[in-house]
Amino acid sequence: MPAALAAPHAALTQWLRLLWDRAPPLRFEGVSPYIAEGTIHLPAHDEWRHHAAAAAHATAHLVYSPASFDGAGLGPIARALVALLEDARVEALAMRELPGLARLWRPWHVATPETGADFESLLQRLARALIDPGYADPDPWVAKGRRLFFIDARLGLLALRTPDEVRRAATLLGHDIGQMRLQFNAKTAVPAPAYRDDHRWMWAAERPPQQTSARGEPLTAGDATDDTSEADAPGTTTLHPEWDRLIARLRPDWTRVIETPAPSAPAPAADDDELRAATRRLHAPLQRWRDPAPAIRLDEDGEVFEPAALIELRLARRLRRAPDPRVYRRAVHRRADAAVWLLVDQSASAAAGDAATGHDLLRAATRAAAAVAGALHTLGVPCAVAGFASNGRHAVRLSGVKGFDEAADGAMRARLAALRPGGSTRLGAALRHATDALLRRGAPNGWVILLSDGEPHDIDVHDPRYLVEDARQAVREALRRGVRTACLVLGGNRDTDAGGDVRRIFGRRGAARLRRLRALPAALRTLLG
Amino acid sequence: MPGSQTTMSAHPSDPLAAWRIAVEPFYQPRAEEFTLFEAAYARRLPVILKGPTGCGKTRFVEHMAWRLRRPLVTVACHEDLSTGDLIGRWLLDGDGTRWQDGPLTLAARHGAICYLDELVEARANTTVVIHPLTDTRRMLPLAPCNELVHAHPDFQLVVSYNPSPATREMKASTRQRFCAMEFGYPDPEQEAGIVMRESGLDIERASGIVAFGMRTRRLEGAGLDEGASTRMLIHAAALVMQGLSSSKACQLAMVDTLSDDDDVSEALQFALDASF
Repeated sequence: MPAALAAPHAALTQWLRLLWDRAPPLRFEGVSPYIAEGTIHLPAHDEWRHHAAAAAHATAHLVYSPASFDGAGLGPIARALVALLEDARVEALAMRELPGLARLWRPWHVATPETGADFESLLQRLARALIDPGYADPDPWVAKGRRLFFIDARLGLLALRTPDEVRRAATLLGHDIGQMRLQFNAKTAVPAPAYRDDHRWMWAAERPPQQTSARGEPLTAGDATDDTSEADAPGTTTLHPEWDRLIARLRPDWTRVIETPAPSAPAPAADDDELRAATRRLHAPLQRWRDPAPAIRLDEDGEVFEPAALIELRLARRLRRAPDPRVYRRAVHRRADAAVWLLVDQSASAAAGDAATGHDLLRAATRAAAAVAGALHTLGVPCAVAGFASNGRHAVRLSGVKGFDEAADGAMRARLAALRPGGSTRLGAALRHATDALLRRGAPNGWVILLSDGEPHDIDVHDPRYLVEDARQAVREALRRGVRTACLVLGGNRDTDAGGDVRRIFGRRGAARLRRLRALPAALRTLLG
Repeated sequence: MPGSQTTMSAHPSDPLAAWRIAVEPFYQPRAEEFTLFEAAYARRLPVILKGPTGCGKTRFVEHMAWRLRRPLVTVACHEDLSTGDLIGRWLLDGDGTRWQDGPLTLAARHGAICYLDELVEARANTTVVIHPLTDTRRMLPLAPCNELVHAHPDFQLVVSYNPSPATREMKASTRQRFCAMEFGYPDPEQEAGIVMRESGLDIERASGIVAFGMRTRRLEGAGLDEGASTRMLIHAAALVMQGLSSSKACQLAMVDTLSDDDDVSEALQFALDASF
């Protein structure tokens, strides 16, 4: 399953960054590790820890090795020795800085004198002798290799510092192998231990330059879909930046959001009993967005005395009763002037059926949106509703269902019901668009609420973490500008990974799962805190 | 009679006695911070100390207060901080009501350095009370008791601000009243020196802890909002002094604290394994 092979292994990337501040592109394919054009290729495996030894070894090459070696005049035996010595050299340098790596690499070295005395066995024994100070090998050639490699083996002081020194030592050792008349077939030899790469990068300079495809550049946000027909679509077009996690920067004007009014349905849709009940029950949790009631509440501590309470207190004292110590007006923070933008994810994945209810997710989302918009309308809180779907970064389409000042009536419900699933979810662009609109409105307490199955993806993005990180960034930018965000995750608990993505984007408390309309008040209470 | 209104102090002659700093707080200067701050203080210009969590902003202002022999009144700001928490409020006692100066009023009236830690955390309507103190007027109107406090000649306002993606931005109308000093994490050698000095740990283990701390800062913006602060490194070193291994101490003081994200925690954990 290719999707599993492209698993993000975010922890592995972050680990390499922690160790050496490097984030080389990683590919998971094939059976043995290799490095090509700066990309580390690792055998496919689900558990990232299985890659750790190979990834650390390969990255150590990227950090400590020269870009390539001069192989001129070197036979296969000398080349194998250069590779071995260079492997041991970068590992020794890495372990000097990160001693714990020894525990990662040493267990792979299991060669002993019993392994054999042919050239490949001797290579493995020498490799072990160079990484494991506790290993004693009786073979004089292995002992010579160790003497050439270290100035002081116990202190781990290296004698080989430059490619020339490595080459000289390899030539000396290779000469001895020649004297011993040992055979070596470079074609069939496999790098050992298995975590070490096959050194094709070392001699890469000798090969004719290949037709370099886009391999060197990780495919993140492609330019492939420059769909010009989208530009002709009616509606307003806005450009928004997008966060590229690999360069840790915003790409300016990267996405194009096209906002069009949603197609109006022929007849207004009536609201059924379930929707009416849900709307009514939302009044309580959404009350906090309304202008606070002016009722005076008392507190023991506060800013301003409440004169009536002071009189009560004096009276109580005169009557020798226990006085009520709450004589201050309680500071009620005005949460007024709220404005809410409801974003309905209408991507193709929203057409998926929800096992629990049998309805499709888009229908569940539109009904929840209708209930929230209806309740907010009754409470007098401005609320806009829009559906969104994308088709590459140049075509993030937003269908305006309801403007801030329009009524949440049958026509709105009809427009909601007319939203059709299709396209992808470029969440960050939609969030930025809604945030900008809220800020233009000037409400000091703006909220963007997303109704989605919570899996950002798009046709021109192949890195599964890219859009997640972009959306996370959009959420943070919104927060910095005073707009809060939350997500109602629709659908059952069928995919725990998606839940993880949503939590990563909106934070632990910024997402709540919504399985049925009846649970909407509780879910909103969780989100609004 | 403004003076008679502050009666809560145990030292009627010196209302700021509790805020004076007797012993020199250790601060390792990186560049010419002392000169810069002294110049700002000489003209009584308000100062913003900018920098990441736990890099020494608070310690620096403590040290400067000690150096300049001024009391230091510190307020940790938070979202629910009210104007009254800064300027003061009326209290009720046996016979009636009594005005109690808040920390800002206390500092302005009697001549202290007032340090508002993480000012942006406070709401905008609270923040504006500092405005008349931070321009040439140097005064603080106390509307609830109908008094205008003219700042003491020694008074200075210092605020700290941590411009990280997780915090709010400071408004330009507030920001532009201040001089700013930028703080960062010190160089590795200096940081090891600070860790050694604060914890008593030897140089080798202190350097190991600092090296791991610096690694965590590489994930800033790529999984972590902020890497390990100098304060965290000192905590780890203190735990080593308490008998823990370096690895266990870093686990306790850094790895488990820095992130709740599974991937990031795992990467940190594995990097810790590789480091010691």
